[in-house]
Amino acid sequence: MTATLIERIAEIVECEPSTISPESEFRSLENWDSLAYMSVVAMIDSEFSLVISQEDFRKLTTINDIAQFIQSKNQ
Amino acid sequence: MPYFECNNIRIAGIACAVPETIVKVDSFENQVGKEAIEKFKKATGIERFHKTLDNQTASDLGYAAAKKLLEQLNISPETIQALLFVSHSPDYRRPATAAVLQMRLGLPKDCACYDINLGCSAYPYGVVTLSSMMECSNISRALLICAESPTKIANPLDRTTAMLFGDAGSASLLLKEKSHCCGIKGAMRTDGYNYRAIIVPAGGFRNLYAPKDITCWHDGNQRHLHNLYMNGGDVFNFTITEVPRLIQEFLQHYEVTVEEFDSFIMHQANLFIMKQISRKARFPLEKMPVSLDRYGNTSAAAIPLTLCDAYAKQNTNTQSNIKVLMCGYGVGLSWGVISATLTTNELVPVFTSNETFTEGLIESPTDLE
Repeated sequence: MTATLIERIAEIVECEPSTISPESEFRSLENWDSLAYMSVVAMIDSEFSLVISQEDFRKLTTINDIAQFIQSKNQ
Repeated sequence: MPYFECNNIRIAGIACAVPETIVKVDSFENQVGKEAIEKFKKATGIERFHKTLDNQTASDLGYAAAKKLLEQLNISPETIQALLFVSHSPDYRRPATAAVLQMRLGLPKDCACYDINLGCSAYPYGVVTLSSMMECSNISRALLICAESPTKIANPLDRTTAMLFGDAGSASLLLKEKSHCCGIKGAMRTDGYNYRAIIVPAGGFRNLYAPKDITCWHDGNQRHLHNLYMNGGDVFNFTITEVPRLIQEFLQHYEVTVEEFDSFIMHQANLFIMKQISRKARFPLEKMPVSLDRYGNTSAAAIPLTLCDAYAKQNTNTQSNIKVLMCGYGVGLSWGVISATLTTNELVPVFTSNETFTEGLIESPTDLE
């Protein structure tokens, strides 16, 4: 799941997937903005059938955090 | 969920007016920068929108649309028995704008006229409310006017709203026809628990005279309390979750499928959101007309405006019926869906109007003497 997330988030912020790691803080990525946020929420909904609320999303920092959150909700 | 079925009512014509002044999104380059403009256009799909004159109101646009509609359909104003104005932009705090419109349009006094204050969900709510009233009364001809002027309350320094919204007015004629086969079906929901997600905090009676000092708000945008505030993230999550759910439940309840519809007219919130809804509700993008590229998000007027923009044809005698699913969603939070069959030659092409009701501008006590 982390690999998929990295690949799809790289597409959204238009960077090379190799520059992102599971520990990367996604808000620090160069093209991160409100549109990237909406795109990531929509991507997670489309890939993993989960809409993360803004409140829950605020608590997440790294790509790993997102993966763990999805796993905890989809169990 | 409240479901509605009005079997004897049909939407028998729609006209829409927009102001003459066009504002290009590119004109905001000095305020927000070229890169931000390009990103905004790509995400929202908005290139330009129309903006009212200072004293031109949403009801002026609705009036122009209604006048044109009655003329085109050759309907005498004397025969209209109800007028419903749905908008968040009334002419006055009181009386109801519908009463002013009744007088301007020359409707008879034997006419029920009132306002409903809703925004993005105005059209489904308006059609269902008026249809229900017609079904249980002797009213056979009614006008629904959904109009909005959001450019007046968006702060030009606010990146979330200044380039997003446009002004427009619509008028729809509703007829009671006993033999009509299809009728109107509808369903609606509200989430007042999120009333703050899209709000103009001041100017209502909770905080009537709040100061108009512009400050930088928590989202990094500059505005004052009489301006429109929108929590984009919350609104986005709401739309991609609740709107497809409403559409799905509506289809299930009435045992209809996506394939049975010729067109899906979505509230023109922004293109990114509309694409997400189309993906989740599983209806094809090519059946979802887009008007916001030229008109922006016109709130209450967006659904009728998109219908006229996509299907109204000039000088044509060919008539075709289209089965349409229409969905409005936004401020409230409030959302609703309706289905109806429309006849394309009863749709009037979108036109521009700067007609302003100057008599209605009361600037001093002597104006009322």
